[in-house]
Amino acid sequence: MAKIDKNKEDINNLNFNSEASFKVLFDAYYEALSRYAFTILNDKIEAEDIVQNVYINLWENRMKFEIQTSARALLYKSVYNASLNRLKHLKLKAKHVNDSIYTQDHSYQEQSLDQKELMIKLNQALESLPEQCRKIFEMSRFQQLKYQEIADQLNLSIKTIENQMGKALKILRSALKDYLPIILLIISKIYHG
Amino acid sequence: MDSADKIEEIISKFLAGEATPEEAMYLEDWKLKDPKNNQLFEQSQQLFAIANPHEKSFQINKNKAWDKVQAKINQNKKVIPLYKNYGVIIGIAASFIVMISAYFLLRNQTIENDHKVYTILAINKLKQITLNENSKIDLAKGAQLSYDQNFGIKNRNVKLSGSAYFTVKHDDAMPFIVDLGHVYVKDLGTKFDIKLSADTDSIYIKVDEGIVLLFDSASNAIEIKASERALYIKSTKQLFTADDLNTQTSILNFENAKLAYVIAQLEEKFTTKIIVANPKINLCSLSAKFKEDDITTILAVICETLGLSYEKHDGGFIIKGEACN
Repeated sequence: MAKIDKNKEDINNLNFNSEASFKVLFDAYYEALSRYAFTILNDKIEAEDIVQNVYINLWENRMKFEIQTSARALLYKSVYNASLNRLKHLKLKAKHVNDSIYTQDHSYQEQSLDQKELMIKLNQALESLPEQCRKIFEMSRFQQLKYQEIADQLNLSIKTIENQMGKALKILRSALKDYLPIILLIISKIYHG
Repeated sequence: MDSADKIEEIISKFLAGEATPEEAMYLEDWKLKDPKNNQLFEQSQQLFAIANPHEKSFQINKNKAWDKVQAKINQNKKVIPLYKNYGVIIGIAASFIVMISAYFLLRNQTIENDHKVYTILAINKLKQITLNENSKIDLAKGAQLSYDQNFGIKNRNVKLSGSAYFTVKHDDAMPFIVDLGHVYVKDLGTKFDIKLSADTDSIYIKVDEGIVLLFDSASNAIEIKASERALYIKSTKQLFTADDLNTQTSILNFENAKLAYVIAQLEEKFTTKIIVANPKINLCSLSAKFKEDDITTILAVICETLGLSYEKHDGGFIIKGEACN
């Protein structure tokens, strides 16, 4: 990964008129962009679709981007805009079919014992948070509200939401740190084992 | 606010789907700076995943994704009407010539002047292309052909990696030249087939009509006439003519044939891919006759004879072993 970082400037300065250099651009950022789109859309297929389309679009319009600033910045910006548009569309669609993907069922039947235990630990840790901080974290994570929606409901600024979410993350991670590496191990086993 | 708090905010924003493109890039850079940073991010991600199990991180198959993107790219490419882009380029060139030159100077030496290179790739199946001067090329699966914007105007040079069948019209003023990486095939009026071995070390050329000239940077050259074949080994710069090769194809009959040639024949007959792990074994000589045998039997016999081994690999085969004496 450090290798990509080192060569980042090179990649950004590539003339991606050749398919080979375009592939380098793809390899360097596809995964990170997909994960970024996923955070916005919460849907793996939608996220990857968006990123692939952004790449195809970039290739097809490559003549227009000859004097580019940074291909990376362009990609991130395009993925961001496309994801937000897609999200709007999905929300609208969900409203109509009255089956929102954002009102997920939070029964924990599907969870393993480990996850149940972790959930209990998380709830305990949440109790230790300052009231407002806890409320904001729960609204964001359990109710899946956007920062703007939380800010509106609590009559706070977005900046405060950002700040409180950061604070919650730091405190919760520290409280659960003994449990988090275990999941990391389980996950890396599934993915790489 | 110190930077430790700031990064916590950015991580939360990212995981909550609220990060701007700038923040997402900042976070990626930060993760790469130190493995500890990455670990901290992973832990945060896990934490968010406990709160909402639907947000677990997922596995990304980059190669599969590239196949999809590449298919789209090539689907929209087909024959590129060079002159169309050309008009635009000339139009811009008049007013932006200084800018464009500066741009390419800054862009280091890998790009020659204002050359644009067009690349066509046959991804999953044979691809038939007609170039702007009516040369017809059948690109074999996995083959890649590229040419620059002056193709058909100032030159008829193409670069090929992989295998392809060419039907070209001879033109004395502008010969059709295939660059195979320091080895070249020049048409002298022609239909010809170029096969590059999977290890890219041996080139097999079959001429159906006309004459081609095969030459390399070490001034080895040979004319190959209709229904003749030639084999070139890149690593050793060795050239074998039709006389050295047995050309009978109905029954596979090899007499003192080089393994690279045998492989080329087998690949053609069984439409498979055979890779040699060690290019030196391409020069092993084999005399054998195969009648209606299947590919695994033939490979087993060859390997047994030459003291090599083979295994299945990625839809084809890989042959392993030491150079023959």
